[in-house]
Amino acid sequence: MAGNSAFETGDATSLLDSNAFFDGVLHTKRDLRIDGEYRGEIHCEGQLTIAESAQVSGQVHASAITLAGALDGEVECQGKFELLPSARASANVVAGSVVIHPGAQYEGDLRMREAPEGLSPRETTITSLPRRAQNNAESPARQASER
Amino acid sequence: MFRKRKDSEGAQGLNRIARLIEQRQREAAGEPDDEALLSDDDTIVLNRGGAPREAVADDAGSDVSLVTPRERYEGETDLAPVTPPNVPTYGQVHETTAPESGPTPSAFAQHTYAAPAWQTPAEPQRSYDMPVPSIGASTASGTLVAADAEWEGKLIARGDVRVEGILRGEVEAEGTLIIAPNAQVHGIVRARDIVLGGDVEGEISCEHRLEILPGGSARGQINSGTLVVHEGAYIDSRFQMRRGDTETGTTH
Repeated sequence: MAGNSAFETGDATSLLDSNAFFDGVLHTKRDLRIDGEYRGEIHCEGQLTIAESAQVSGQVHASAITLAGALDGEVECQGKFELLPSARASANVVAGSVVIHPGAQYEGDLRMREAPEGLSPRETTITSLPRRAQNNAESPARQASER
Repeated sequence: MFRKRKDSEGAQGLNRIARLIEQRQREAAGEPDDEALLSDDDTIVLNRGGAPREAVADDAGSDVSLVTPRERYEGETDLAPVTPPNVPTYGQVHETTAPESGPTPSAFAQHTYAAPAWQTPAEPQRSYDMPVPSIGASTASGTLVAADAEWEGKLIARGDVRVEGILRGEVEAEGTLIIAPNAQVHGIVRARDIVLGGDVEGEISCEHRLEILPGGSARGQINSGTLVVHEGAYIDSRFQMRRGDTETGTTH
């Protein structure tokens, strides 16, 4: 049947491409890659990759995160949270381990899930940062939707 | 005129004039300067390095003994408080060079200090460069809602969208929307072309061509330019064809 071959991708990685915009809640048991603009919640049980062209704002829960783009919000990462040199993050982060490469920009509250032996974790709760002003005129995808 | 100007300069100028006058008077009387007064007879001047230049002591003569300067130990330097001009960088090991003779100011400029043992790293020149993982180039090929993924919200894409998992809410694609078998879409669907192999419930709006494959199911309202329905599809919908299109809907 025509068109059936297009379905047999077997691709496990969800992908929001660079020309796309998503606003909402996303649950996935596997990997996720974001190249476009994302707003809302992410619950990813696999590897979350936020590419350089991506803009993500909201709450992010993932097993592992590799960030090359822009991230704004709350992050909970079970494993490794890695900021590549092109990353721009303004987030409150709780992560298992953190790698920040030279060149990455980061601001916010950062803490490890488990304190090392002999150290007690800080007795503070993470408070949310004031959200940035959202510029609606920037996104081409959203302009397309308003047409 | 002259007096007036001095007044304007204030007490400072007057004090200076008074000091000058006192100095002139002392010189005329043959008195020595203030500094000359300091080195009087009871002052003992000892020079450690060379021969004693002057050792005149009237009262304490038994207490002060004059010794020749002892031999300089090898490697000994003068204990002058000198800040080293080149501060050794962290972890760098320099060999201490003993100057042959007494250090001159130029020799201090070349003097280097050995880093203490605790400063020397166990493995020198160790590199901490981190390999930067590559995540590949940005994609514009299409958005994919993979199997085992559930997206809920509004999705807007200028390209293609392929759904293999669950998508609830609103989806808008300027390209082709492919809904794979076992995939579910609930809500408002707008796309140029739609290939439906899974399940759609809601409002479908298709600019160009909607093709429903065997096993595909569409429930709700359908608004399409062209409709293609294969045998085995399940439809529970209200159709509306767009007028003005040259193509007509066909049913196999």
